[in-house]
Amino acid sequence: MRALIIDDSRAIRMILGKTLRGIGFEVFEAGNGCEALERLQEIGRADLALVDWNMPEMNGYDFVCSVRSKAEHADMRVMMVTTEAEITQMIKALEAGANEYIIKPFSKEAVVEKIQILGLIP
Amino acid sequence: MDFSADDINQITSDIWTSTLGLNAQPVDKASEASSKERSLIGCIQIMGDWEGAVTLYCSEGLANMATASMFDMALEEVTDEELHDTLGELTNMTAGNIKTLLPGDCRISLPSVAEGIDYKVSIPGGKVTFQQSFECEGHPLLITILERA
Repeated sequence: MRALIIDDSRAIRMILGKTLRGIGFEVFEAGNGCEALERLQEIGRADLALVDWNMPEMNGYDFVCSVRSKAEHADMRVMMVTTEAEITQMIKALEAGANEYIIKPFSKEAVVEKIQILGLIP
Repeated sequence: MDFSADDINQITSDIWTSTLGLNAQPVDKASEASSKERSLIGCIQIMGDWEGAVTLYCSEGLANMATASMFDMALEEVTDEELHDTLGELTNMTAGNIKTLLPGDCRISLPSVAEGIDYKVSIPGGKVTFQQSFECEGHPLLITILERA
């Protein structure tokens, strides 16, 4: 399975990448929404996208809106990984097409549990 | 707007413990970083129904420890780019969580990070509304919330 981690912090990409590789994902990275769309075009498809909200150039919300307008990525599970913890923000992201939501700071166990909820791992 | 020390202490403790495995303890006044020691400060602006900024200040020694932990690397391998990335993300997490305590609709900026020796940072129009010192692994850490007057 393929996962795309989209966060402008290299540290967060590294932490999430380590967790995802540990549970069998092939991991790709992007520093913002624009880069992520390019990366998706290069790799064709991903099973999971972990998306930060607050990023330069294209933020996570705009990325979700953009990717959900493309039929080829309709099956991709999208999980917001962000500090934006308000209910209104969560609802906005879910309405745009995100499937799950995790708040920073997070534990490795919490990330794995959310991916299980998404049905990507047993 | 009044901030509760308990809320800020909980947010800070959660971030430093769960992300870095480091113990940040609130103290009445942390030992000041020497004016000859390099230090770093991260800043996030908050815009919307409440306007202001959150800054996170720490010594280079603590920033190095945090970065080594975040990137799972040895202290001597830490680069300036990784140091700034780490402090920016820690400031982002701190401000993002503090934003949940604010009234109305607010958004946060991208983080900016400055570093140097014996410098001053000012945010024009910003008045300190909350400040809490912490001690983490023997190093000072300072969270400041400024509200735009």
